[in-house]
Amino acid sequence: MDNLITKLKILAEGAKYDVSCSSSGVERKNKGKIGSSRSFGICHTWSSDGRCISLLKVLMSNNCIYDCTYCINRVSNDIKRASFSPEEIAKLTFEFYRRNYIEGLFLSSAVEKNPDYTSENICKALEILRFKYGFSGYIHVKGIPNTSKDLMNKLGFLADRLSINIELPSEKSLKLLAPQKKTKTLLLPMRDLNNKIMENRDERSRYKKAKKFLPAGQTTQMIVGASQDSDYQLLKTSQILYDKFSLKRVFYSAYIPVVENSLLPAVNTKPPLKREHRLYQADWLLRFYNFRADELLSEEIRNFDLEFDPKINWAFNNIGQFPKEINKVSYDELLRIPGIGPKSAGRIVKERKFFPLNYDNLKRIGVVLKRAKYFITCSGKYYGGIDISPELIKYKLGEMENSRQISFF
Amino acid sequence: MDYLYDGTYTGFMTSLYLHFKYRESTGIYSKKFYQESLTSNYKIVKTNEDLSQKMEGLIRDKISSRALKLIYYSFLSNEEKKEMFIIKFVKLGLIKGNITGLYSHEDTFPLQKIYDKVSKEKHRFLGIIRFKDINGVLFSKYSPDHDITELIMPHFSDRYKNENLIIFDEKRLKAGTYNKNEWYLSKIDKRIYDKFKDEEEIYEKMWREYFNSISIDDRKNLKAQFQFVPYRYRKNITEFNK
Repeated sequence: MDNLITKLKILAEGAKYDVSCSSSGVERKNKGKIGSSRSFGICHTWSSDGRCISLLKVLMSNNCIYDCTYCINRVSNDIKRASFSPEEIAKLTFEFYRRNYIEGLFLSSAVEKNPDYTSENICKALEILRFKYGFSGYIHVKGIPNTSKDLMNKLGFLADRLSINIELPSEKSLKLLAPQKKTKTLLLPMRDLNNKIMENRDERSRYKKAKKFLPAGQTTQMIVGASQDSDYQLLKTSQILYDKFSLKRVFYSAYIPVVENSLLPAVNTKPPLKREHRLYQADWLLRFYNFRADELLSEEIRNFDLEFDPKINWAFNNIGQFPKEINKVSYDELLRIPGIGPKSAGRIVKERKFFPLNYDNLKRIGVVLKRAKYFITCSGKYYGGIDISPELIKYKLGEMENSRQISFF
Repeated sequence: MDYLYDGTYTGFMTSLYLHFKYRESTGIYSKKFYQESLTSNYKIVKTNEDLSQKMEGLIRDKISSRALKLIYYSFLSNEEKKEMFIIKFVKLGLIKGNITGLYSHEDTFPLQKIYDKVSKEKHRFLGIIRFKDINGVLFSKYSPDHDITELIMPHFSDRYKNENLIIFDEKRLKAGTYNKNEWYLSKIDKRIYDKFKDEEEIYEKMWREYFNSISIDDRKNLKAQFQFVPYRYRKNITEFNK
């Protein structure tokens, strides 16, 4: 058992820089012996970095043949190495799951020996978990680049979600930092999997009993701040992935220097958390607010403003469109107002049918008025108190931010 | 005149029916928490299954079936004035129709807020309930703010359909039990539950090790962690103890 604890520590350490931990996207009753899945996803705890823990996130092995510069598990790094057996992984998942510690398994691995060998091992672990233990809970599996197509497909029928990490958004940065990886070998399997998902969806609509293939779809991850790539390049890449491969999520991971290398930021560099945060905000705008990458950034302005969020910045640049009348404009237009999200926009559309909404109503609905008030009118009345000019609004918001920070520290 | 009910949902629904169909009360209160004074004027309502069902039917027809869920969840909350908010909500609904899900109106907002709180706690405990394997029975104790045991039992009895399990609310001395076949609620004597020894299990140790290894030190953010797992919940969560 002590041996198992040591392995668990090493292989959790190796997996933790993968940020995805979501367990959402599939609603499934217990079809086996144990386990179910809820479409809204369930977080089971939060670690001291404030990130949610939903899945048991571990590596099958951290014995890697690759030498990607930014990665803690690269072959030339002098760290402790360990590997789980498929049975060990399955048993551990089952026992953790029984105690409601976790919502499922997120299984990844370093490339041990070769891609197919690694994927076969992952496959074995999932088969034991699904068939021997009758596990009907959530499984997220990592796609190992250069794995054969048959093996990938097999994994797709065992797991709910699969992710292949792009890590770097340009061929140039890949060549520099991950010479054994190529954009093509990352994108082609994503395309194939997407085709298979579409095919499967079609099949399932005709035969109710057809087995599900990756019902929670695909995701990926990109590192922020390890290479010279701009926010514009990252966001454009995300948009293509959403449009062409119907990805469910793109995750962004602020690079934490784990190694001294002249090609990378120095080891004592702080991870660019604020930049990561702005990218997530922009990503949300792409997925839920119908924004396009080109509306938020351009060849001229290639990185996000760190002081103001992408949406309010967009509003500043398009100030002529404001103020918008809350009782008149469409849902899509409501979404463009800073301080209004999909939830409050939906409520506004629904509730204004009963009676015209005033300023107090908006408060109850959950609109963030400290931002929204500069961009709206309620039945013709403007509550901003200052002229609608980006400079004045920025000044007001900055004032508020300053007083908040003073009280905070 | 105040109406006093026996503390059950059926009792409350009976009172609500009398309030709207018979004679409007000055307030509906649970007998247990009622503070009598010299001037108080009250009537003890006898719980009646038929009238209660009639009230539910009325709400379903005149407002919506979602409104019933809203009322039921709110009834399980620890909010002191929940009965009053429910009366106001139903009164408006009987006039206006389907007002479920409205936030902007002063008579719907409080109930909607209570509902959101109860749902949020329910959702949270789907994740932070911790079971201990005691001689093959999965045992959990917790102390939720609201009386949510019956809301979370369907989830756990499906998820662990081949296990025997008990979820014990130590605040209300109430347990949800599942016996591989069906789940039910019962009152539990504290002494029985004290018999369950707090023995350290090997998987608890492993889970704690995992929990500590997965955190990234460069991103330390205890404030966020506190917001997600408030201190009051932590004493029953394995990884926050020892």
